[in-house]
Formats: sequence, C-alpha cells, structure tokens
Amino acid sequence: MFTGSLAAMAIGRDKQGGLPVFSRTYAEINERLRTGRAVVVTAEEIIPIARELGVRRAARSVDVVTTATYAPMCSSGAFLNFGHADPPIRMSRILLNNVPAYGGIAAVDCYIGATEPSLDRGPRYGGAHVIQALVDGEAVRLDASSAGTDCYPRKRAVTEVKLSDLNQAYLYNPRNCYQNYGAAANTSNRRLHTYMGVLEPDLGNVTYCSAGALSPLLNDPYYRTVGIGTRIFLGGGTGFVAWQGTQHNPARERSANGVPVGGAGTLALVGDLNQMSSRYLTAASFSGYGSTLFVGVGLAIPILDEEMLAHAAVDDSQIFTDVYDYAVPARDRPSLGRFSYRQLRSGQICIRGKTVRTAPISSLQRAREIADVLKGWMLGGLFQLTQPVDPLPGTGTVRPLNVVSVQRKEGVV
Amino acid sequence: MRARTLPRHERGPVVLDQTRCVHCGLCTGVCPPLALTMDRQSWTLVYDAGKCTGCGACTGACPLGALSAASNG
Repeated sequence: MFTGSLAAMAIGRDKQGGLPVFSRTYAEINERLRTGRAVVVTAEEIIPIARELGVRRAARSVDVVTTATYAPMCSSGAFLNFGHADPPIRMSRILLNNVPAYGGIAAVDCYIGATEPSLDRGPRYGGAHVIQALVDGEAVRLDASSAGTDCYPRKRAVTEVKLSDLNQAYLYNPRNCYQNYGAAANTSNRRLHTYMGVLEPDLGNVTYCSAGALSPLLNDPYYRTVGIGTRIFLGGGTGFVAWQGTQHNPARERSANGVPVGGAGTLALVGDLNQMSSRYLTAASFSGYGSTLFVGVGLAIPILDEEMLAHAAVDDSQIFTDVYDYAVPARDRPSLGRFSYRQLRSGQICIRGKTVRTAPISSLQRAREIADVLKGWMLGGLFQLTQPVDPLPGTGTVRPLNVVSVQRKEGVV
Repeated sequence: MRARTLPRHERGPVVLDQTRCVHCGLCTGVCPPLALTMDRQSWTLVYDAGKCTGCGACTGACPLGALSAASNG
C-alpha cells in the first residue's frame, strides 16, 4: 500500500549509505521504554535530527516520536451514568445546567454533546461547558423527567451531581484529530461568523486549524501505527482510539509525500473524564456559531523502520491545504489557493494579489506542551505503546447527503 | 478563582485573562492595529497595549472569553 516516495526521497538524500535494512517491533520499543533506554522526541524535535543524521541513521537513533494537537473539535461529547434514584426513574428528558442531554438509551445513561446549546443562556454556554464543569469538579444541576412506567415509577428527579458521584463518565468523541483541514476566508462584503472563527469581509483574514508538523495523523499519513485500540493522551489522561472517526476519508488527494491535502482521516476517541483536566479539555464558544470543545490529543508514533521516520520528520513546508471561500454557501466551496503550513504560519499569504493576514485556531503552544507531556510519560515508564487491534480503513471516501431527491419525492420543491 | 491578568502597565483598553487564554491565536487575525500578535518562536499571544485602540473586534472573536473590554474604574 505504501508508496514510499517520501522515504525514497529522504533516503536518496542520505549520504551515510551502506546501512543494513532496519526495523524494530512494538515489543522491542516497549522493552527499551521499560528499561529506560528508549529515545523519545517530539515531532518538531525529529525534524532537525533527521536533517542532521539523515533518515536512515535517525531511524536507528530514535524509538518514538510524540505528536499532539489541541483544537476545537465539535464532534465531542460524554456518556454519563447517574445511578438509580429511589424510587427509580427512566430519564427521558435530561437537562444538565439546562443543557439538553440525549436520554434515548438506558434508564440513567445519557450522552451530552459538546455543541448542544443551553436552553436559557444561548449559544455562549453549551454541552462543552457542562463537560468542563464536571472535569473541574463543579456541581452540575441535573433535571430529569419521564412519563413514568411500572418499572420506573418516578417522573422527575432534580438534584446536583459531581463527576465523583457518577458511576461512569467517559468522553466519546466520534470525530477528532482531523488529518489536515481546509483553511477559511471570506470574499463577501459582510463579516461571517463561523466555526472557523470570525471571517472578515473582502479577504480580511484567513483562519486555519491544524498543528501542522506536530499533528498526529500528518506524521503517520497511511495509518500504519494508529488504529483501533491505540493508547493515546486524551484531555490530560490516557484514552484510546475506539474506531475510525466519522467522515474518515483516506481517499483524499495526497501530496507526493503521502500527506493529504485537506481533511482526510479521522479518529473516534474514548477516555475516562476522571483522568482529564480542563487545561487539555476546554469549553469554548464561537460567536454566531455556538459552543465547542478544545480537545488535547497526543499520539506516540513508534519508529518501526525508516519509512516511519521519514513520515514523522515531515515539516510545515511539506504539508499543504486549500483556503476555501466561506462566502459561498455551498458544500463544495471554491478554493482560493493552496498553501503550505509554513506559509500560513508566516502570518500572511497572498490571495488574488492581496496580502491577507493568517491566524491559527489550533493552539500550537498547547500542542507542544502535550507532546512534551506524552514524551515525559513515556520516558518515565508511565505510557507504553500499543499495537492496533485492527487497522483503520485505508480506502473509502465520504458520501454527501443528497437532499434534493428527497425534497422532490415529497413535493417540498 | 481570581483572574490573573496582565500587569497594569501592560493593560490597555482590552484585558487579556491569561487563565482563560489558550494561545490559539485566532484573535490576531481580526485585530486591525496588530496589537495582538503571536510570538513566532513560542507561539504565545502577545498583547501590545500601546497599539490597542479598543475597537473590540478581538473580544467577539475569542472563543474562550479571554479578552474583554477594560472597565473605566
């Protein structure tokens, strides 16, 4: 499956030559971690190492590369179990700090989504804020109601709950860690309020959302070492890759180095809220859009061979994305140009002859911190690598929602 | 918890709450006088109170509520 182009290019530049074919296993790396002999560096630190030593020697020198991201990820939320009241209730309508949670599962389970808005505080407060309140140890008002049944006779329960009161509370995020993402701009004459932030009129700014060279799936573009069951840093604790994320799209156009140009692979993540911290799991609200959750994710990439090192040594100049025009109210917005993350990080790019300011949404400062924390965990013997139980799909694409045909069928249009 | 803000001599028409700021940098794209910029080494937010005009564009753009208009008091 692997095209090997980046490794081939990199190896071609390597002047060391003459080294035998090299590979190492997860077990060998874990043994080196256990005995304190492993070399762990971040995805930013590996770049100058690979330049200095060349890919072949760098691969032999480094065991693990840590990657990270910390950015708003709307497809996030938490499953909670409240325990049973006496008499018991089958909660069907559930409010947490007046934010609706989904109760269409078992009697005292619910799912609180990050973007669910409050009934009384508007879009500035939502499910993400409830999740952060729980993580911070705050009391959250629970108001649950039901029609009542013979087996669950209670019709209403109003109380306060803290994270420590709950039987289970785990983050389950259907889509995190987007492997690259399109940047946003606005050619219209009015300000747009979007999940990509405020977009000023007449190409007043460009916003982009990726940790670039530090971003997890950009360092393992073909998902060789990340899959179902992979242990990760999630929100300050340890979590796991549960499944492919929604809208997982490995078929996205890729550069010669294998890195997708735009949104491609995604991960569904799961982890215990009790281990998490609001430093790495932070509620936010975008003006005119609503609430979302900044999620901190760290992924450790084992350097199994030279190919993995070549991928992990990717830098911002080798990762590209398109800038899309959000003024066009369509699913497939037109591209205003393709730029590298080095260009985007410079603070300005040129679109249609105009110099446009660029601003990140993903916090590189916090992502660096997470990559360092994960590195520390590994060097301290607190975190071992896990071989995926099953790989993520390497093929497949994303289907659009065809609304028009249904509207015609029902005579809506 | 009391918000930790910038020292008085660095304050301008806008107050940056360092306890809320995650240094994403989104505000830097909407600040007309470039009073908010990113340090390109540390990727932390830098606020230059001397350049700030108090237009308020950043306060609406910050998703963390870390930027607010300073009180007159």
